[in-house]
Amino acid sequence: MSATAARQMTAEGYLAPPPTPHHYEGNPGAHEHALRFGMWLFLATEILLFAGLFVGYATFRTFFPEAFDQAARHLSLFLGTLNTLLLLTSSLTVALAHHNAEHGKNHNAFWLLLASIAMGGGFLVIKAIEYAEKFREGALPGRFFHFSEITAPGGPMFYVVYFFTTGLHATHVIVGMSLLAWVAVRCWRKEFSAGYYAPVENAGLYWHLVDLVWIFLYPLLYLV
Amino acid sequence: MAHPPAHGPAPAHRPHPISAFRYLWVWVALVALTATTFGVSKLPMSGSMHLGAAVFIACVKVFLVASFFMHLWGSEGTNKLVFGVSFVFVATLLFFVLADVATRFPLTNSHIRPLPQIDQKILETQEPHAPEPPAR
Repeated sequence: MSATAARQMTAEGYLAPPPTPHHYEGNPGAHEHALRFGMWLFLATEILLFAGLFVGYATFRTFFPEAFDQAARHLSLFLGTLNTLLLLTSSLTVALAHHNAEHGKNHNAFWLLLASIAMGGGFLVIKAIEYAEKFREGALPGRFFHFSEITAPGGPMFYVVYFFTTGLHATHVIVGMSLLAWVAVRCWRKEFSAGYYAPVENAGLYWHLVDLVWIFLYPLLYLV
Repeated sequence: MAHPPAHGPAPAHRPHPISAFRYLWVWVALVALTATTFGVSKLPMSGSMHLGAAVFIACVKVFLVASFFMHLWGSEGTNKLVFGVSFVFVATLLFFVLADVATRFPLTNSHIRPLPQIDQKILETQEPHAPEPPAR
C-alpha cells in the first residue's frame, strides 16, 4: 500500500501507525473504544444472521425428529470432533497473536497467525472430505436427495439445514483466514505496538466469532 | 474498570494485565468441555435431555471464548451490552418460533405426518350419488 510506504518508522523501530482521526485527538482511548465497539456491533449482526439458520434448524428438527436423528448418525463424529479441536486451538493461537502484537512482538504474532491460518485451512480440507462423502451418498438437499439409509420423512430437510449452516460457516472461515492473512502481513512489516494493534484485535474478534458459531453447530449437528 | 475519563487526554494504551498462560488454561477448559459434551452425548438419556445438556455446555464454552479470548471480561460495558442483547434477541426469536411450531393443530403439519389411510371398504359401501335431475 502506498500509504504504508509513506509512513515513517518510530523511534522504537515500529512502522508508525496511521494518523488518529482529528476528532479523537488528545483522547486515543476513545478512538480505541470506538474501533472495538464498531466491531462488536458488526459481530451482533453476524450473530443475528446465524440466528435465522438456528431457528430453521429448530423448526425442522421439531417437524422431522426421526429423520434428524437418523441423519445425524450418518455424520462423521470423528471428523466433526477433530474440526472442533482445530478451531478451538486456532482461537488460542489468535488470542496469543493478539497478546504478542499488543506487546510489540510482531514476529511472534506473525507465526501465531500463520499457524491459525493453517488450522483454518485444515478445517476446510476436513469439511471438504465430509462434503464429498455426502455427495457420494446422495445425502443432499431437496430433489437431489437419494440416500436410501434415511427412511424417515424429512431427510432432505436435514441436508438443507446441514449444507446451509456449515456452508455459511465455511464461508466465514475463508473470510476469517483472509483477514488473518492481511494482519499477518502487517505483523511481518512490524506495524503493531502497544499504541496500535486494533487490526489484530478486530480480525481476531471475527475469527473467535467463527469459532463461537461452530461451538453451537458441532453438538447440534453431530451429537444430539 | 480502568476506563479513560471522558474528558482530557487519556493514556493511549491500557495493556491487558493478562499473562499468556491464562489463554492456555482457557483452551484446556474448552477442550475438556468438548470432551464432556462428547461423553454426555453417549449417555442413555432422552432426546430433550441431550439437547439441553449440549446447549448448556455450548453456552459455557461461548462464555469462556467471549470473556477471555475476546476480552469481553473487563471490556467496556457497551461491548458487553451489544453482545448480551444479541443473544437475548436470538433467544426471543427461537422461543416464539418454537412455541408456534410445537403447538400447531396437527393437521397444519399434514404434509409431514401422512394422512390416515382411508378405508376403501367405507367408500365401497357408500351408495353412489343419485344422478342430478336434468336442468330445464
